[in-house]
Amino acid sequence: MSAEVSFRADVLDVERLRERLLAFEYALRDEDALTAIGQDLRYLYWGRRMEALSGLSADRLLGHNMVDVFPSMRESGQDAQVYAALSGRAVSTTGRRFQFPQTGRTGLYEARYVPWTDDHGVVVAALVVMRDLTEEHRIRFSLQETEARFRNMADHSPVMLWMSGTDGLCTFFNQTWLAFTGRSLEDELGVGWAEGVHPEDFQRCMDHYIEAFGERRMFEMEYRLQRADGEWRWILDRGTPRWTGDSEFAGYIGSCVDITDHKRLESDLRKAVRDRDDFLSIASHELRTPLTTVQLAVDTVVRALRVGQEPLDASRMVATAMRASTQAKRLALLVEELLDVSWLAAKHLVLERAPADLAGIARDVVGRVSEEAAAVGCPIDLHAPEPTPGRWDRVRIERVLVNLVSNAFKYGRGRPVRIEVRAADQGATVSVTDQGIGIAPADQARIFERFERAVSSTHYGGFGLGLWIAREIVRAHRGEIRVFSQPGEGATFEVTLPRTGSEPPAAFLARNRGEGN
Amino acid sequence: MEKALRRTILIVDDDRDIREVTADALEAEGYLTATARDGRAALEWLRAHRDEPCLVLLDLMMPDMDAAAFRKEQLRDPTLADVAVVIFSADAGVAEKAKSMGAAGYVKKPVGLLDLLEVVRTVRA
Repeated sequence: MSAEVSFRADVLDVERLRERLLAFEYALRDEDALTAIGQDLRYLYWGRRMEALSGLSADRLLGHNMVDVFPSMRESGQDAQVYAALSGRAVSTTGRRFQFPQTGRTGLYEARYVPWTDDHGVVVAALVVMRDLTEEHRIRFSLQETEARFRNMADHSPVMLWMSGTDGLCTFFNQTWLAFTGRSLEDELGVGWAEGVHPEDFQRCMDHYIEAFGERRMFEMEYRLQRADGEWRWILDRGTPRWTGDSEFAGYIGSCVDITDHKRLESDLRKAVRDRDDFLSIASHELRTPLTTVQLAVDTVVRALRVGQEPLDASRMVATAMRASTQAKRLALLVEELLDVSWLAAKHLVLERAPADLAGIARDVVGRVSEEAAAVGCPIDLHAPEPTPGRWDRVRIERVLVNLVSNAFKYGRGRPVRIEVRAADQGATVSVTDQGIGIAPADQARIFERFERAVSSTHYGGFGLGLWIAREIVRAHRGEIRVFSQPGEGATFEVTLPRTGSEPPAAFLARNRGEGN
Repeated sequence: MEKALRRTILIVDDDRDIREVTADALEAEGYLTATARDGRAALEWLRAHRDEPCLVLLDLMMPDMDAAAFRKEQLRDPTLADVAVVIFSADAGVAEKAKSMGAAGYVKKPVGLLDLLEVVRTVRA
């Protein structure tokens, strides 16, 4: 271009150029700074943002040669981009470093170099739009850093974590989850994780998730997930929606905990409560029944004496009063049973061992139950020819025998009950045999459990705990209790008691020989 | 009072002592009594004594035929359906069960003699 032409171009176009660039600059983003360089390499425009960024005002730079003002442009090769634009080519650079000593600002930038033509299509200037990438870079870097920190934290979490996107498909599972299922991240992403859900829980699980997801609300659900070892575990899965800084829905994040043991405990507890409630309901009924007789019997006698019934039938009144007495004893036994259960339940069974003779205990028990035996019509046949000494808790062993004999009366169909006491090598045995309805083999283990009967509770009364209590006491003595029975052929309960809980049998025998037993 | 005294009281309970002590108590008051150990025996007695006005004291749980089964049979038979039934039980829910069975009343065990006598005296079918 001739100097004349260029001079005229300078004078004619520059002001209009500046006006248009000023307007143009307002349309740019905050981070974008605008300059314009003429064909003579002098600054035609130095925008406001450029002033702020560089600390250099426009009047200092306008009309000056760019390389004179910024010699580093030649070194960095930025001048080449300007020449390219001035020759009509639009070019871009990114990731280059800028530095302004006046403000001390330095950082990375992205720049676009564009030819500016006049109405005739002649390139009169190069427009440079420069964007400071430093902030963006810092954000992206810190985002990466945050992401890395998150993953590290997530993978070390003792809880299983997952994330899903706005479409509901899962985008992340932490190491804890992957270790649990034994599958790879690729396997689990999307809806892959659902393959590990138990088929019976799958539909309910999916429906629940989709419904909550649609409403963007928190959810909680339990389902079975297959563990790496093949076992199905109950999982409590809690999901909550997450939002970006702009309050834009971004998907869900959730945590999962293995609650299998907890559920088992819960189910055991529920059963225990049900058992206890059943027991209480039976117990209250069983206690009220003899009380009814006691109350009515006593009331009847009192009324007869008060109203002065004529004639006063003394023998009848004695009979009525005796009924009250018998029922009171029955009540006493029930209360004992109840208290034994409380003791045993609290594991407070501490034996009070003392020298005792099993045959003697059996004789005492027979004496105690003789009235009841007569009442039910089950005569007792006791066979205890020889002394059978040992160290036992006498009161508790009596309880065992009383329970066994009561059972025999209950189920004995009014036939004789035989009690046999025998010495044995390691201790002594006592057996109680009835000729009653018998116990089916399938029930024989069950009857020793709490609240279990081989027949319905409404039929035979009592709490159904007698055998359980007997077994607990026998076990505490390190003994054994067994049943031999067939349906319709009666039953034999056999209790074996070691002589002592601690002494070796040999030492005991030696002692016994010394005492001339 | 005289009309009520002419009723025979049928005591239905699987517990022998309760049957006997209740019978004794009522007889001492001048009532005629009869006993049965379950629903089946009760029905037998009622059928054999159709012409006798009577009141049934009925326990809830008995082997073989309990109160509910007895009631069902009783109501099916037009000659027995009008017999007044009073539920006599230790069950905690005796009031509701008596109502649901359409019983004329109920007595909760254990009961004092005077309360029992009052119910027996006043209840109507």
